[in-house]
Amino acid sequence: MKKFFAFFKTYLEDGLVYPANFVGWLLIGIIPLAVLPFVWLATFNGQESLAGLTQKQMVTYFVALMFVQRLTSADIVFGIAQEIGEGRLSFTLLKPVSFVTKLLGLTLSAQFRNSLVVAIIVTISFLLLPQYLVKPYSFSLLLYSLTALILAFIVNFLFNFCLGLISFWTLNVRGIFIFVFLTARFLGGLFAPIKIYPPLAQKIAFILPFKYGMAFPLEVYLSSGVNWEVLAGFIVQVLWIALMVILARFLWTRGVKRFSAYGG
Amino acid sequence: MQLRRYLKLYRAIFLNNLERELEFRLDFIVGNLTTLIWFVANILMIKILYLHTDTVAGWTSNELLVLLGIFLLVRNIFGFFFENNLDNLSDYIRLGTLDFFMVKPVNLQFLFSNRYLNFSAVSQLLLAPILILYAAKSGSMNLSFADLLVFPLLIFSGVSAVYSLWLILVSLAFYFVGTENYSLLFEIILDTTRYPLDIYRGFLKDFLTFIFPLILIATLPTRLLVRVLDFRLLTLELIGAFVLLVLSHQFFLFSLKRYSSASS
Repeated sequence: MKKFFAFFKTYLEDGLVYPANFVGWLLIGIIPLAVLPFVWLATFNGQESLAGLTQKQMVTYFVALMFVQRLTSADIVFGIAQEIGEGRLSFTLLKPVSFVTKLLGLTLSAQFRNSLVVAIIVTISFLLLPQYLVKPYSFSLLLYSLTALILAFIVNFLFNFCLGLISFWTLNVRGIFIFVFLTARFLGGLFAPIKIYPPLAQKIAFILPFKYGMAFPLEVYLSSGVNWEVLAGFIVQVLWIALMVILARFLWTRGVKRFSAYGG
Repeated sequence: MQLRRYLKLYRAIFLNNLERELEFRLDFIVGNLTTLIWFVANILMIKILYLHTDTVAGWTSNELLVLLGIFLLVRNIFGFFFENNLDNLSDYIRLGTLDFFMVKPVNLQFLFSNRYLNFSAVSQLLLAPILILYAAKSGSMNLSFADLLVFPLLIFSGVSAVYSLWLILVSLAFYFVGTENYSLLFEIILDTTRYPLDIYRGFLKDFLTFIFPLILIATLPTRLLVRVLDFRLLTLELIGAFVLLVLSHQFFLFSLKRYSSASS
């Protein structure tokens, strides 16, 4: 735990050294999502609802998506790929700290910084559009969606960890990464709420892990009570976490063996 | 005489870049393949937008595809010629390597803006016109002879607007440390111009029309092409782009005074 906090503190300080840099990252995180409510509101053309979503729900979806994306993101893929690719992983392996502790310190310090950003977004959006945002149906639903949010972070962390570990086997991972990120963008609900899609695409999104790292907490937040859809979602989310823990362990032990076989 | 000297210099730069590119053929192929994936994803996004509606802020899906085509054309002409160079500016300033450009007996802005070409933009440069023609045809838009004559002018002013705005943003590196991510920031801002500005209302629309005129990049050129060719608007587009170019040049020169190399 102490080791974890050492990493946490270092990375946090590192991220706040240059304010101009910090402001840049803040805007980079917000802008792509901030345009989408405008785009989607323009598709309503005066109608009450679109695919079962009201205008208010649509705006709430994207404003809340800004938090969810900030709070669940785990940008570790390229870092892992670099450490493995350049062989610097040897140094990390030699130290008496686990690689995962280091990555968690890195991610959670970013998360802490991001919660600053989130606080700013909340304030601004409540000042600008109080009439556009909807509250959850019940208090328990809010708790359910917060649970889904924490699980979503775990899903993202594990998913990106596994994805990064592919670098043990091939160095040309850029193409794979971009393909996966794009799929995640569509099936994770980053461009549109998954309700918008045709039924088949919705079913695919239900099975694949992407949605459980992104849109699922929002779907819970916007749903009209704890129904079977919510419960089924939780089951799939937990199943994916279990599956990816096993996969991550497998990839890691196999990968490190392979890695040490290469290095001198 | 001056012009001939610069043409000769540009030819040398171009050949040098071509040689570098031919050394890394795999990079060329992979780079273009990933942009190809993006191209498909972009079209998919527009298709998703029209799943439940026929018009978005008064634009049909074919009009929006033309807008996407023009956006991609402008974006990738800029990407091919200037993007890498402007991205490098903050590094040149921080590391003091701008010195190498300053001591050459040619115009500084010309040299650093044109030094490196980016060949991974080629595939989209070829695909964008096809998309424009395809969308214009399936939307049965009648492109007149005048449209064809004006088209290069519109694209030229769009590219010029992107260049100017990007130059102003990266010139901030003369004032602040830690602006390396500002080129990513602008990339993200630029990315929002694939949507028509009509989706915004009120202050935001005025801001993006008059103060930070993203409208010049794709929305206005597309409107002129697919709707009535209004000469007042055309004049505004051309004058706007020209004024921006002059302003950005002046701002760059003004900011350059703050440059103080890096080594002794």
